[in-house]
Amino acid sequence: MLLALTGGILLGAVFPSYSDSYSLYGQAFLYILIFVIGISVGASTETLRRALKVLKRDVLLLPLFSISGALFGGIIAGVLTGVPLKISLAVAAGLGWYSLAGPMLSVVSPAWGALAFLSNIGREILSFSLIPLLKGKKGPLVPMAMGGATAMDTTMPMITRFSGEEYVLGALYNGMVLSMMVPLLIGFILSM
Amino acid sequence: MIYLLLVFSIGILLGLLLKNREREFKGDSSLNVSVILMIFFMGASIGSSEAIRESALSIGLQSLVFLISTLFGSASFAYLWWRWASD
Repeated sequence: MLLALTGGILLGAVFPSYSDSYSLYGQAFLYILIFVIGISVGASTETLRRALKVLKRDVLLLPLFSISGALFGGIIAGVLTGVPLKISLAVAAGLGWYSLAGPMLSVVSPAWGALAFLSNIGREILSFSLIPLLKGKKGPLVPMAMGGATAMDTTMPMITRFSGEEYVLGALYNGMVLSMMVPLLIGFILSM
Repeated sequence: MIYLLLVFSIGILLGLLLKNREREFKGDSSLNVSVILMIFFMGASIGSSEAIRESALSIGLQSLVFLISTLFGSASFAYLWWRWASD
């Protein structure tokens, strides 16, 4: 992923006159990606339905608090940095899914795309560092919320280690719901 | 963005139709290829913009503020919810 990004930056720096084409191709692949994500979301509804039957209320409502907290943090960051509110909310709505949030915001401006990419990749890296430090002291839900959309894949092993094996399904559910919400939230916020 | 949401919705509908044939749908490889190409072209857009190259430090600092506040926002809301739910 970083190789692709670095290669792209080098190509753009060497041949800057094709910037319109880069943006156009990027958007074309974004549409393909969103379509494929939609298929994955539709095909995984059965897993979600099964999770809904067995999970407790605290885990079931966790995505709502993860999203609200991230958006609240986005508003604070927007005030501190002077980034427009709409962009701040869209960056925060990436919920750690940098490979989607970056390109989606690139449609508005490459600079906002870079901001979304960096802040969401940073969120994943910081989660990796902070989840072990917490050692489950702040309850089992905090590591899941920190993982954001990555709770169902990259941060899941750490979440299960520090929240407990019984939270595997909860982490999967939280990651799935947040992953479904990322394209919807960013799309909705940017179209406001 | 409206078109993106529309494409996403069509994808979900198709996914619902395909849900009993998950093995026939090889979505993972097309997802990976799309992500890599999309990141590549996003990088090219960034690299071709002199304004972004010049403000790289400022974007880096802004992203630091965003990553800290969004991460702690999610974590603190989840913590407060857990405390409230376990009472």
